[in-house]
Amino acid sequence: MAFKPSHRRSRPSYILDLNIAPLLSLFVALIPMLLLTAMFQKVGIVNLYLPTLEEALLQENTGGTSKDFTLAVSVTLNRLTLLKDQEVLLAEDIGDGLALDMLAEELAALKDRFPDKRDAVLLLDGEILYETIIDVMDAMRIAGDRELFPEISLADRVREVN
Amino acid sequence: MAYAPTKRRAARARKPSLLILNITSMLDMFTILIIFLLKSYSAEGIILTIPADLHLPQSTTQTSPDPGLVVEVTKSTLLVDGKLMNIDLNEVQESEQLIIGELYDYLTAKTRQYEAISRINPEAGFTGRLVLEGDREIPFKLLKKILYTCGQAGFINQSLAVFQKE
Repeated sequence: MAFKPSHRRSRPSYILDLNIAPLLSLFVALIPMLLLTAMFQKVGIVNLYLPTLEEALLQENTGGTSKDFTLAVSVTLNRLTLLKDQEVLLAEDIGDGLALDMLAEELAALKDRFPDKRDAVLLLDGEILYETIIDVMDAMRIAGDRELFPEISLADRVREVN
Repeated sequence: MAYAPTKRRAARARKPSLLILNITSMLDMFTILIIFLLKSYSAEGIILTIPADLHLPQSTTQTSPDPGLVVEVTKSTLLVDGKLMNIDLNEVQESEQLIIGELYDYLTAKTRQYEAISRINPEAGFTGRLVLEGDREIPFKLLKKILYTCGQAGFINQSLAVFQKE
């Protein structure tokens, strides 16, 4: 004959449940608010620099100190050129895409030689697209974590540089 | 002899008295969503609103926009602070003139307005800040004319709006 099961064992087992209803109401309020204010694409700006008159005069008058030279990147539809005053440092034909990594390398080497130099000129053809301008400016401004020449001014390419 | 449970107890075991909705998985989803949204939340507020037909270029810049006069250039229209300018951009592109007359007139009026305000309230000084929101496909010859005109009208603190790359 079997024993009668004990009362202790047959007690209904209570399911211990955390009361998450208030948490849920908080989520229901938070999620639509965050979804509405979320910016999935952040907008930033690229500053343009205009050379001031004093700087321009200084560049004309003094020719001695190391950073007083004009660094220019010229972009045409089929050619990318890097110029230090009149000296051509890099001239690349543009085939499928811009050779921006080569430009960045060359600029990094220049930055090693002239750490105080911060300004550069971007000479552009009229047909160059805005997107390309920004890409080239990115390459000129920063390489990895290193700041290269962030003070970029835009200029029209008036004479043929080869 | 086995102990037989009563009929009443068997009936109670079959029919649970309280129906509990299982929301654990929904809660998991909510938690993930909340973390993602809080991460992408920006407390700076939106200074620039980008129209749907304007595709900004991408850039690695980390600089956040400052308030200023907003010039929007789409492929066919030009807007200054949300006001549509009556300017044919194709004509501007082909013209030999560097300055855009109508834009110049409008901007000079704006500059005068700002200067008048800063005379009354010196704290609100005219900084000449301008943010250009340009479509990624506009050519430099158009960009150049717009920037030049803005510069001539007194907006010399120019910056270009871009989408930040991750």
